[in-house]
Amino acid sequence: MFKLKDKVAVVTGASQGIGRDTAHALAEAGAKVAVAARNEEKLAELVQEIIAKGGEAFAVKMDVADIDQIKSGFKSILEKFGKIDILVNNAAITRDGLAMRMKPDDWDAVLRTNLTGAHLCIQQVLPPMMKARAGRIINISSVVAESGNAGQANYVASKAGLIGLTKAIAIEIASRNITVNAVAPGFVESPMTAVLPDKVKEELKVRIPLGRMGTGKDVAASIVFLASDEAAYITGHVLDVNGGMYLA
Amino acid sequence: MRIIRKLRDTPEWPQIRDQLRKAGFDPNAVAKLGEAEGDSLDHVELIMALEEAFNIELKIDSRKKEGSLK
Repeated sequence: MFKLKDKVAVVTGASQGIGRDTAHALAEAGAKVAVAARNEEKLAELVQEIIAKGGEAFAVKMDVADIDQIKSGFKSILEKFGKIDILVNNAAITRDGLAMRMKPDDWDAVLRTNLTGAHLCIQQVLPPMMKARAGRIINISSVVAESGNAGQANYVASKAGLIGLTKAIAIEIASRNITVNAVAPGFVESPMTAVLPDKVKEELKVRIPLGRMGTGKDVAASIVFLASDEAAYITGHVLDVNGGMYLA
Repeated sequence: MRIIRKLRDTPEWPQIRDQLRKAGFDPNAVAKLGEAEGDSLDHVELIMALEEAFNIELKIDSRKKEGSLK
């Protein structure tokens, strides 16, 4: 596996699902991990789990829809670890509904957390990464950003926006040896998909050539790779982790 | 993005120059700073370094013009 010894990583939306598995995977690869999310109890559990396995972790209560919490959160991470090498923008919410009936608040909330939140977190890590002339930014998009999905216009727009954000910033800061990539998971077993009816899950599996839903670990492994030194020449890329579900 | 040019040729320079002068920096030194060459990121880094070194905050309005620092 790829080594991240002495690296400092930040994972947003780390309290559950892909974020939680990613925090574990980064720590197992040797990184010190700052785990950020709204739920302090779940973060405290996660930190204890990582420490119990010999890793180092630091919990930061952060709602990425709140710029003040973002600023204070990243300040505390820099005070704790002195640097940030890796940012994983994973925090995301859903507020599903048909586009023609979608409430403006539901549109705004999803875009604010999923897309604007990622942008604001990137703004926080760019100054230290530019100084260090090194950095890895990994934005968690989704297969639906490429395929579309009925009833999720806000979520799909936010995840497609993350791909555009990834490519734009990748070009902007490539000269500083900072890479920016996106991971686009397919349907992954997580609290977000746990609420789907079994019948829907079975129908989804039929659409996945590898015949199963993904796991958080599947996605986390791709993130560890993109965060590693071995991925130094990859930037502006969208890595599909979807079991062949959507072959562009 | 890779165009090499002087800081004084950016749309933000008048604001930066005026704030530095107001902060008490020598006008000749400020004028020399305007001769600093680089691309947009170089200039952003230069401003970041100034802010850090002198513990000041340079408030710059993005004018959405081509060639702006942001």
